[in-house]
Amino acid sequence: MGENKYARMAEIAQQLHGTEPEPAIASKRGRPPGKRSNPNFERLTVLVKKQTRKDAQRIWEDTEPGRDMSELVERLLVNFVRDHRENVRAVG
Amino acid sequence: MIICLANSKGGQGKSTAAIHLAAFFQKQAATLLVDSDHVRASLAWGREGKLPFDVVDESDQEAAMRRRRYDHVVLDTPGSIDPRGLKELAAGCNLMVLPAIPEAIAMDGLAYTLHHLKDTKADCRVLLNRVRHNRPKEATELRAALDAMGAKVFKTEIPDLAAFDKAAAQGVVVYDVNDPRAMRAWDAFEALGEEIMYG
Repeated sequence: MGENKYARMAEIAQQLHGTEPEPAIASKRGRPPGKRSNPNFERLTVLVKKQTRKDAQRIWEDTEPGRDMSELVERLLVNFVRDHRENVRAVG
Repeated sequence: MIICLANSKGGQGKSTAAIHLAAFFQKQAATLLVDSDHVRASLAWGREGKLPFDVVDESDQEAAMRRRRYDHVVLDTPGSIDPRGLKELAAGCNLMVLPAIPEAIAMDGLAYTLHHLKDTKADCRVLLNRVRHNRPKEATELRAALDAMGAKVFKTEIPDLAAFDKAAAQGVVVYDVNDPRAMRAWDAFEALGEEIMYG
Protein backbone atom coordinates (compact mmCIF):
# COMPACT_ATOMS: atom_id res chain seq x y z
CA MET A 1 0.00 0.00 0.00
CA GLY A 2 0.96 3.63 -0.14
CA GLU A 3 1.86 3.89 -3.83
CA ASN A 4 -1.24 5.61 -5.16
CA LYS A 5 -3.42 8.26 -3.61
CA TYR A 6 -6.26 5.88 -2.73
CA ALA A 7 -3.92 3.52 -0.97
CA ARG A 8 -2.52 6.51 0.87
CA MET A 9 -6.01 7.65 1.94
CA ALA A 10 -6.82 4.22 3.33
CA GLU A 11 -3.44 3.97 4.98
CA ILE A 12 -3.76 7.34 6.74
CA ALA A 13 -7.32 6.50 7.83
CA GLN A 14 -6.18 3.17 9.24
CA GLN A 15 -3.17 4.58 11.04
CA LEU A 16 -4.78 7.66 12.52
CA HIS A 17 -8.47 6.98 13.15
CA GLY A 18 -9.26 6.81 16.82
CA THR A 19 -5.90 8.27 17.79
CA GLU A 20 -5.56 11.27 20.02
CA PRO A 21 -4.42 14.46 18.29
CA GLU A 22 -0.83 15.50 18.53
CA PRO A 23 -0.40 18.23 21.12
CA ALA A 24 -0.33 21.65 19.56
CA ILE A 25 2.83 23.66 20.12
CA ALA A 26 1.96 25.65 23.20
CA SER A 27 2.34 29.38 22.98
CA LYS A 28 4.56 30.71 25.69
CA ARG A 29 2.29 33.51 26.82
CA GLY A 30 -1.36 34.16 27.38
CA ARG A 31 -4.29 32.19 28.66
CA PRO A 32 -5.34 28.93 27.06
CA PRO A 33 -7.86 29.47 24.23
CA GLY A 34 -11.48 29.36 25.33
CA LYS A 35 -14.90 29.41 23.72
CA ARG A 36 -14.48 32.99 22.53
CA SER A 37 -11.67 32.01 20.18
CA ASN A 38 -13.18 28.66 19.24
CA PRO A 39 -14.74 28.92 15.75
CA ASN A 40 -17.34 26.28 16.70
CA PHE A 41 -18.90 28.67 19.20
CA GLU A 42 -20.75 31.91 18.67
CA ARG A 43 -22.05 34.53 21.06
CA LEU A 44 -25.79 34.51 21.74
CA THR A 45 -27.49 37.47 23.40
CA VAL A 46 -30.97 36.87 24.76
CA LEU A 47 -33.30 38.68 27.16
CA VAL A 48 -34.76 36.71 30.04
CA LYS A 49 -36.45 37.78 33.25
CA LYS A 50 -33.97 38.74 35.97
CA GLN A 51 -35.53 36.44 38.52
CA THR A 52 -35.49 33.49 36.08
CA ARG A 53 -31.77 33.96 35.39
CA LYS A 54 -31.03 34.34 39.11
CA ASP A 55 -32.94 31.19 40.07
CA ALA A 56 -31.48 29.17 37.20
CA GLN A 57 -27.92 30.31 37.95
CA ARG A 58 -28.23 29.42 41.63
CA ILE A 59 -29.51 25.92 40.86
CA TRP A 60 -26.88 25.41 38.11
CA GLU A 61 -24.01 26.44 40.38
CA ASP A 62 -25.27 24.13 43.12
CA THR A 63 -25.81 21.11 40.88
CA GLU A 64 -22.96 21.55 38.37
CA PRO A 65 -20.24 23.48 40.20
CA GLY A 66 -17.52 24.87 37.95
CA ARG A 67 -19.68 24.94 34.82
CA ASP A 68 -20.75 28.22 33.29
CA MET A 69 -24.19 29.34 32.16
CA SER A 70 -23.21 28.82 28.50
CA GLU A 71 -23.12 25.09 29.15
CA LEU A 72 -26.61 25.14 30.65
CA VAL A 73 -28.00 27.05 27.65
CA GLU A 74 -26.17 24.71 25.23
CA ARG A 75 -27.66 21.68 26.99
CA LEU A 76 -31.19 23.14 26.89
CA LEU A 77 -30.89 24.01 23.20
CA VAL A 78 -29.52 20.58 22.28
CA ASN A 79 -32.44 18.94 24.09
CA PHE A 80 -34.89 21.27 22.37
CA VAL A 81 -33.54 20.40 18.91
CA ARG A 82 -33.55 16.66 19.68
CA ASP A 83 -37.13 16.74 21.00
CA HIS A 84 -38.31 18.74 18.01
CA ARG A 85 -36.78 16.26 15.57
CA GLU A 86 -38.28 13.30 17.42
CA ASN A 87 -41.72 14.97 17.34
CA VAL A 88 -41.44 15.72 13.63
CA ARG A 89 -40.45 12.13 13.00
CA ALA A 90 -43.30 10.77 15.12
CA VAL A 91 -45.84 12.93 13.22
CA GLY A 92 -44.35 12.34 9.76
CA MET B 1 -14.77 2.64 11.46
CA ILE B 2 -13.51 3.43 7.96
CA ILE B 3 -16.19 3.48 5.29
CA CYS B 4 -15.50 4.01 1.62
CA LEU B 5 -18.06 5.07 -0.98
CA ALA B 6 -17.18 3.82 -4.43
CA ASN B 7 -18.63 2.95 -7.81
CA SER B 8 -16.79 3.08 -11.12
CA LYS B 9 -19.86 4.66 -12.64
CA GLY B 10 -20.36 8.31 -11.69
CA GLY B 11 -23.65 9.96 -10.79
CA GLN B 12 -24.85 7.17 -8.52
CA GLY B 13 -25.18 9.36 -5.42
CA LYS B 14 -21.85 8.60 -3.73
CA SER B 15 -21.50 12.10 -2.30
CA THR B 16 -25.09 12.21 -1.03
CA ALA B 17 -24.53 8.88 0.67
CA ALA B 18 -21.12 9.99 2.00
CA ILE B 19 -22.55 13.20 3.49
CA HIS B 20 -25.45 11.43 5.18
CA LEU B 21 -23.46 8.47 6.46
CA ALA B 22 -20.94 10.92 7.91
CA ALA B 23 -23.86 12.80 9.55
CA PHE B 24 -25.12 9.52 11.03
CA PHE B 25 -21.72 8.49 12.38
CA GLN B 26 -21.04 11.99 13.72
CA LYS B 27 -23.97 11.40 16.09
CA GLN B 28 -22.00 8.44 17.52
CA ALA B 29 -18.48 9.92 17.55
CA ALA B 30 -16.26 12.43 15.76
CA THR B 31 -16.33 11.74 12.02
CA LEU B 32 -14.20 13.02 9.15
CA LEU B 33 -15.31 13.00 5.52
CA VAL B 34 -12.47 12.90 2.99
CA ASP B 35 -13.40 13.96 -0.54
CA SER B 36 -11.14 12.65 -3.28
CA ASP B 37 -13.65 13.10 -6.09
CA HIS B 38 -12.39 15.44 -8.84
CA VAL B 39 -15.74 17.23 -8.75
CA ARG B 40 -15.32 17.87 -5.00
CA ALA B 41 -19.07 17.47 -4.51
CA SER B 42 -18.74 16.74 -0.79
CA LEU B 43 -16.44 19.70 -0.22
CA ALA B 44 -18.84 21.94 -2.14
CA TRP B 45 -21.70 20.60 -0.02
CA GLY B 46 -19.84 21.65 3.11
CA ARG B 47 -18.47 24.96 1.83
CA GLU B 48 -20.74 27.06 4.04
CA GLY B 49 -19.73 25.20 7.16
CA LYS B 50 -23.26 24.02 7.98
CA LEU B 51 -22.42 20.32 8.15
CA PRO B 52 -22.06 18.79 11.63
CA PHE B 53 -18.77 17.04 10.77
CA ASP B 54 -15.45 18.02 9.17
CA VAL B 55 -14.88 17.69 5.42
CA VAL B 56 -11.42 17.86 3.83
CA ASP B 57 -9.88 16.88 0.52
CA GLU B 58 -7.38 14.04 0.46
CA SER B 59 -4.39 16.39 0.57
CA ASP B 60 -5.55 17.68 3.99
CA GLN B 61 -6.59 14.30 5.42
CA GLU B 62 -3.41 13.55 7.31
CA ALA B 63 -3.12 17.03 8.83
CA ALA B 64 -6.78 16.95 9.87
CA MET B 65 -6.38 13.55 11.51
CA ARG B 66 -3.30 14.67 13.41
CA ARG B 67 -5.13 17.78 14.66
CA ARG B 68 -8.15 16.00 16.03
CA ARG B 69 -9.27 12.52 17.05
CA TYR B 70 -11.73 10.97 14.58
CA ASP B 71 -13.36 7.65 15.38
CA HIS B 72 -15.01 7.33 11.99
CA VAL B 73 -13.65 8.21 8.57
CA VAL B 74 -15.80 8.29 5.43
CA LEU B 75 -13.93 8.28 2.11
CA ASP B 76 -15.75 9.65 -0.95
CA THR B 77 -14.10 8.59 -4.21
CA PRO B 78 -14.38 9.59 -7.88
CA GLY B 79 -16.37 7.62 -10.44
CA SER B 80 -13.23 7.34 -12.51
CA ILE B 81 -11.36 5.35 -9.89
CA ASP B 82 -9.14 2.70 -11.46
CA PRO B 83 -9.32 -1.00 -10.50
CA ARG B 84 -6.09 -0.81 -8.55
CA GLY B 85 -7.34 2.17 -6.54
CA LEU B 86 -10.55 0.29 -5.81
CA LYS B 87 -8.65 -2.72 -4.50
CA GLU B 88 -6.31 -0.56 -2.41
CA LEU B 89 -9.26 1.19 -0.81
CA ALA B 90 -11.16 -2.04 -0.26
CA ALA B 91 -8.16 -3.49 1.53
CA GLY B 92 -7.85 -0.46 3.76
CA CYS B 93 -11.44 0.12 4.85
CA ASN B 94 -13.87 -1.76 7.11
CA LEU B 95 -16.74 -1.40 4.69
CA MET B 96 -17.10 -0.44 1.05
CA VAL B 97 -20.51 0.97 0.13
CA LEU B 98 -21.38 0.87 -3.57
CA PRO B 99 -24.35 3.18 -4.26
CA ALA B 100 -26.31 2.27 -7.38
CA ILE B 101 -29.41 3.82 -8.89
CA PRO B 102 -31.78 1.12 -10.14
CA GLU B 103 -31.69 1.70 -13.89
CA ALA B 104 -30.44 -0.48 -16.71
CA ILE B 105 -27.22 1.45 -17.38
CA ALA B 106 -26.22 1.40 -13.70
CA MET B 107 -25.52 -2.31 -13.94
CA ASP B 108 -22.56 -1.89 -16.29
CA GLY B 109 -20.48 0.25 -13.92
CA LEU B 110 -21.58 -1.78 -10.95
CA ALA B 111 -20.69 -5.08 -12.56
CA TYR B 112 -17.26 -3.66 -13.43
CA THR B 113 -16.74 -2.47 -9.86
CA LEU B 114 -17.90 -5.76 -8.34
CA HIS B 115 -15.73 -7.71 -10.77
CA HIS B 116 -12.61 -5.91 -9.57
CA LEU B 117 -13.57 -6.36 -5.93
CA LYS B 118 -14.48 -10.03 -6.08
CA ASP B 119 -11.03 -11.24 -5.07
CA THR B 120 -10.70 -8.88 -2.12
CA LYS B 121 -11.67 -9.88 1.38
CA ALA B 122 -13.31 -6.51 1.95
CA ASP B 123 -16.91 -6.19 3.08
CA CYS B 124 -18.47 -4.65 -0.05
CA ARG B 125 -22.20 -3.97 -0.13
CA VAL B 126 -24.41 -2.37 -2.76
CA LEU B 127 -26.77 0.41 -1.68
CA LEU B 128 -29.87 0.81 -3.82
CA ASN B 129 -30.05 4.56 -4.11
CA ARG B 130 -32.65 7.04 -5.37
CA VAL B 131 -35.29 4.35 -5.54
CA ARG B 132 -38.45 5.77 -7.11
CA HIS B 133 -41.58 4.89 -5.17
CA ASN B 134 -43.67 4.67 -8.34
CA ARG B 135 -41.25 2.26 -10.02
CA PRO B 136 -40.41 -0.34 -7.35
CA LYS B 137 -39.85 -3.00 -9.98
CA GLU B 138 -36.55 -1.39 -10.99
CA ALA B 139 -35.10 -1.87 -7.51
CA THR B 140 -36.52 -5.38 -7.19
CA GLU B 141 -34.96 -6.42 -10.49
CA LEU B 142 -31.56 -4.91 -9.68
CA ARG B 143 -31.61 -6.60 -6.27
CA ALA B 144 -32.46 -9.93 -7.88
CA ALA B 145 -29.67 -9.51 -10.45
CA LEU B 146 -27.17 -8.67 -7.70
CA ASP B 147 -28.33 -11.60 -5.58
CA ALA B 148 -27.78 -13.88 -8.58
CA MET B 149 -24.23 -12.53 -8.89
CA GLY B 150 -23.62 -13.27 -5.21
CA ALA B 151 -23.23 -9.58 -4.37
CA LYS B 152 -24.23 -8.33 -0.94
CA VAL B 153 -26.97 -5.68 -0.96
CA PHE B 154 -28.17 -3.54 1.94
CA LYS B 155 -31.75 -4.23 3.01
CA THR B 156 -32.21 -0.48 3.40
CA GLU B 157 -33.00 1.44 0.21
CA ILE B 158 -32.64 5.21 -0.16
CA PRO B 159 -35.74 6.81 -1.71
CA ASP B 160 -35.54 9.31 -4.56
CA LEU B 161 -36.63 12.50 -2.82
CA ALA B 162 -36.26 16.16 -3.77
CA ALA B 163 -35.25 16.86 -0.16
CA PHE B 164 -31.75 15.52 -0.97
CA ASP B 165 -31.36 18.02 -3.83
CA LYS B 166 -32.48 20.83 -1.54
CA ALA B 167 -29.96 19.68 1.08
CA ALA B 168 -27.16 19.78 -1.49
CA ALA B 169 -28.20 23.23 -2.70
CA GLN B 170 -28.34 24.58 0.86
CA GLY B 171 -25.16 22.83 2.03
CA VAL B 172 -26.89 21.04 4.91
CA VAL B 173 -27.82 17.53 6.01
CA VAL B 174 -31.30 16.60 4.79
CA TYR B 175 -32.83 16.79 8.28
CA ASP B 176 -32.19 20.55 8.21
CA VAL B 177 -34.14 21.08 4.99
CA ASN B 178 -37.60 22.60 5.07
CA ASP B 179 -39.37 19.88 3.12
CA PRO B 180 -42.32 17.67 4.10
CA ARG B 181 -40.31 14.55 3.25
CA ALA B 182 -37.02 15.64 4.82
CA MET B 183 -37.39 13.36 7.84
CA ARG B 184 -38.36 10.43 5.62
CA ALA B 185 -35.15 11.04 3.70
CA TRP B 186 -33.10 11.18 6.91
CA ASP B 187 -34.84 8.11 8.34
CA ALA B 188 -33.56 6.10 5.37
CA PHE B 189 -29.96 7.02 6.19
CA GLU B 190 -30.51 6.38 9.88
CA ALA B 191 -31.80 2.93 8.97
CA LEU B 192 -28.74 2.41 6.76
CA GLY B 193 -26.38 3.52 9.54
CA GLU B 194 -28.07 1.14 11.96
CA GLU B 195 -27.86 -1.69 9.45
CA ILE B 196 -24.13 -1.02 9.11
CA MET B 197 -23.62 -0.96 12.86
CA TYR B 198 -25.97 -3.69 14.02
CA GLY B 199 -26.68 -5.73 10.90
